[in-house]
Parts: sequence; structure tokens; C-alpha cells
Amino acid sequence: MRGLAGRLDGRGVGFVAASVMASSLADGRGQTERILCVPAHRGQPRVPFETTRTRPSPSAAAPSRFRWPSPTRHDPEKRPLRVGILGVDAEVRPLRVAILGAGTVGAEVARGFLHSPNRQIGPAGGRMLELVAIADMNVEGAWTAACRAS
Amino acid sequence: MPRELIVPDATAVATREDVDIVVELLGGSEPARSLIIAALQAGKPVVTANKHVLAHHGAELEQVARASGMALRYEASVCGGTPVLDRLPEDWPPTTSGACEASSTAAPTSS
Repeated sequence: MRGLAGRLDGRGVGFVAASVMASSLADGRGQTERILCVPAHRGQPRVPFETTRTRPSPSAAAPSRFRWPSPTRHDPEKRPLRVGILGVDAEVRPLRVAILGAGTVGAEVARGFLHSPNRQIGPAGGRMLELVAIADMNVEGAWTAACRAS
Repeated sequence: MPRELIVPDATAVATREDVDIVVELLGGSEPARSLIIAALQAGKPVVTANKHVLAHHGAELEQVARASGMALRYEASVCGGTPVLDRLPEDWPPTTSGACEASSTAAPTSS
């Protein structure tokens, strides 16, 4: 591997070409490379010399820059809703809703759930709601009303 | 519709572990009041469209909700779909109860 660089170490030696001798030594902290340098400053003898430098390993490098996730479109058929708070996505499960009463109002509310896939509805900007139970003393009547409504 | 969704024991449903939110749509005073209290004390937020129970037991239910740290939310439509309950406590606090009860009795005849 060959490349160009500026100053290398504390010796203040400039060079025009550096040959990395491909002797990278991977230890947990990084890679140590042996570099063959040729001085380039005027007045310096052009005698190649060898030095080393250490590159931090990717794992030991500084934490990568934070990137905002790209906006995602919610598709309830494929995955749960992703709620965005200041752009940070988080997988959340639907809130489980129980309806007490299956009369005129209750049956219509239940219909809203039952007409949706997986009995889930998603309010704008909020978590999904999933119907898990309907309580009514008259089970048969409630079932008939809910079926009629749906 | 799966039939096993419908169960007769409302108290058990209101306090079930796998329920996050209870929506009370029974109407009337009892057993709606008891069920709302049971759900709040079981740590479930409650949403109700029951104007009657709010008109008669609103203060008590609010106290239970505050004590249990759970939310008690309500809204209902009267007069052809006008949501009013959210505005009443702010605009006419002294007459909230009477207005709620009036809207409660007017709702069936208006729709």
C-alpha cells in the first residue's frame, strides 16, 4: 500500500511517499503499521527511514455520528406501528383495549376494531389499539349486535 | 368475529392483566361507576362516554383517578355530534353537573 501524507511523528520530517509495509499488527487497540518514509524537505538527505504509526481499530474508534432514521411508512400488515418521538423510532406493541358494554355505542366502537386487520386501529400519531375483550352480561345479544354491526 | 372475545363478567375484564385501557360504554350509573372505580384501582386508564355516571359521580371518580394515578378521560357527542364534555369543566364549572345531566337526557331524543 502506498500513499501520500504530511508530517508523521514528532521529528518534523516531511516526506513525499510512504510505503506501508503491510505489517499491520492488530491488537485490541488498533493497527500498528510500519511506514517507509523519504524526507522531502530541502536540504535534508534523501535517506529513507522507517517509522510506525497506529490506527485505531473500528471497534475502538470514537462512536459514530448519530444519524436520524429515515421516515418510515406504517404498514400494519407487515410490522407493528413505529412511534416517532423527535424522529427516534421505537417498536411498540399495540395497546390492548377492553370495551365494557355492547349496546348501541359499544357495538359501533367494536365494529371499528372488527373492521380493521387484526382488530387493530391506529389513531393518527398514536399507538395502535387492539381490541382484546368485550364485556356484556348478555353474551348472545352482544354477539348478535356485534355481528350485525360488523 | 371471534365469539370468545365477548365475556359476561365485566369486573374480570376491567381488571384483567392483559388489558391496558378500559373503555366504559355501558351507560347509566351502576354498574358503570363500580366498574370504572375497579379499573382505575387496578391500574387501568379509563375512557368513558357515559354522561350519566359523570354527572352523578364525576367528583368521586376524579378523586379515585387522582389517587390511583390513572387517567380518566371522557367525551361524548350530543346535539347531533357536538362534543361538549371536554369544554364544560372549563367554561361552566358550577353548572357542570346539571349541564351533563341535561345533555344526557337530551341525547336520546336528539339522535
